[in-house]
Amino acid sequence: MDNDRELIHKLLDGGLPSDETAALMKRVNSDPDLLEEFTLLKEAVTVIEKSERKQASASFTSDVMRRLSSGAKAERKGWRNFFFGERIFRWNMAYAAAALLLAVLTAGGIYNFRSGGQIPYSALDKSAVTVKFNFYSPDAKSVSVAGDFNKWRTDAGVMRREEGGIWTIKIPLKPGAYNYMFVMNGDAWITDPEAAAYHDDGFGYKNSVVRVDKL
Amino acid sequence: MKSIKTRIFIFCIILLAGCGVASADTGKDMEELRLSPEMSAVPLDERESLLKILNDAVKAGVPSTDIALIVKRGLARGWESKSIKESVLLLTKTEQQGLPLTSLLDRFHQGQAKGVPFERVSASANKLTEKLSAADGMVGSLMRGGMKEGKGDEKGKTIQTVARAMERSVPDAAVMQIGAKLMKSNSPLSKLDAAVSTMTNAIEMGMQPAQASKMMNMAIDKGYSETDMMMMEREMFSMMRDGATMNDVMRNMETMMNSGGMGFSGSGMGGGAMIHNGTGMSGSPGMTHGGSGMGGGGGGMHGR
Repeated sequence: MDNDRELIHKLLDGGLPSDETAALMKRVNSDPDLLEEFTLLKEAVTVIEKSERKQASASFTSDVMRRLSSGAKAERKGWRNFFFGERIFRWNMAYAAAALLLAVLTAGGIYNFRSGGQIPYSALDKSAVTVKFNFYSPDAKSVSVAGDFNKWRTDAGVMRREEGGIWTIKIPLKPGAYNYMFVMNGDAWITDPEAAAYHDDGFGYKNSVVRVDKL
Repeated sequence: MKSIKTRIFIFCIILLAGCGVASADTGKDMEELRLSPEMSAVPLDERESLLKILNDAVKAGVPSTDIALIVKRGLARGWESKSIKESVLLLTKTEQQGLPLTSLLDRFHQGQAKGVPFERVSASANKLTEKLSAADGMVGSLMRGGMKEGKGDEKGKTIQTVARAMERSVPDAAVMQIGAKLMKSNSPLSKLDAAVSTMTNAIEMGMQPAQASKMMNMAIDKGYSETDMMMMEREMFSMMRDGATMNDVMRNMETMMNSGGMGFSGSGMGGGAMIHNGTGMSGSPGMTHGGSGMGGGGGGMHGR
């Protein structure tokens, strides 16, 4: 079929031998689609042949060649047109879905990058509950809460000193039980005496336990 | 030509975005680690072999964030690269065995954060791995017997709970007895998790394993739900805090269960943490006293 189309173009250009022309016309006449295409093309050729011909200026070829003279320049222009040339935006659902997926993945990647993967809980999680940790120590220089919810990082749950020597922090946690301890002045690990429960930490010490219920 | 350029451009964008997202976690963590000052302190030949082990661990499925943290903390704490390799190899082996990693990773993070020497962390981690393996066998046999897994990684969670129980000297037979009972009543794995967890916590409060096992068997016979078990545990803890002896607690629990009523309903929070839920708040406004008194009210202080 595609081969016949090529032959049709060749025929209309006057470059097809007579024996091939006869064979081609036989096939064209037996195929309505091909016949319609052939008829339309022939009409187009006729219209073009009948239309007025304008004489090109003497400098036409040299003008064209001058414009094409610099290959690199033309290439640059091509790239400029590629980036800054105005174009019509066409879209379909597949492209839109792919773009959306890309946006979501990128946003996820950025979020993960920003959080550094340090916090296994998420404030965005609807089931997360804000838990307020309190610690009383008027003499402490710094206090943080470290637990399995922040991979025991002493720099992640830095508490804020409030009036009366109370240190506090609010942390969003998903329902479950979490082990934690307070870290005073960077190196003193303290069990919360007011904890909901205690668990052995596997090293001979007691972790405090906070339980977060589904609300 | 234009069509090819457009295709190349879109392909490059997608490739870059895909690579960026895929490597945002793994690549970033490992690259940061490779360039970290802690890592640069490791001799070059050691560094190469260490990085190979770390990459193998990531390929096996150990989260790169955790690996990076363990290596950085280890080096900062003066662990030799041999010790770090040993730790990461244990994690890789555990992951390859299909065992849950969360509690093992936590053991390393916690030990390192608290400044526990490598030998103790390693011994504790190895012991935990053994228990995880044994727990996996037990949970697996109960599941093969018909115990159903619910949503999420309930199996992994239960394996870790059983392993923790075994670390606290809960006999395998006690776990299997409870498991068999629950299996008979078509209870899900989450109920086994709750029962074993409550039993372990009771033992950690000071109850004898045999007593704890008896109590949990009784609770299961009475049809206690997971919430009931949790409330039972809270009641025990509350009694202990009020100065009751373990015998008193045990007697009270038995009386409560024999009286027919669960005795545990509703919900609430206790302890030093306040729970906020947007506009509402529940729980006692606990305050932790420490600092000047070096740990108040039984808190204890562990400076290392």
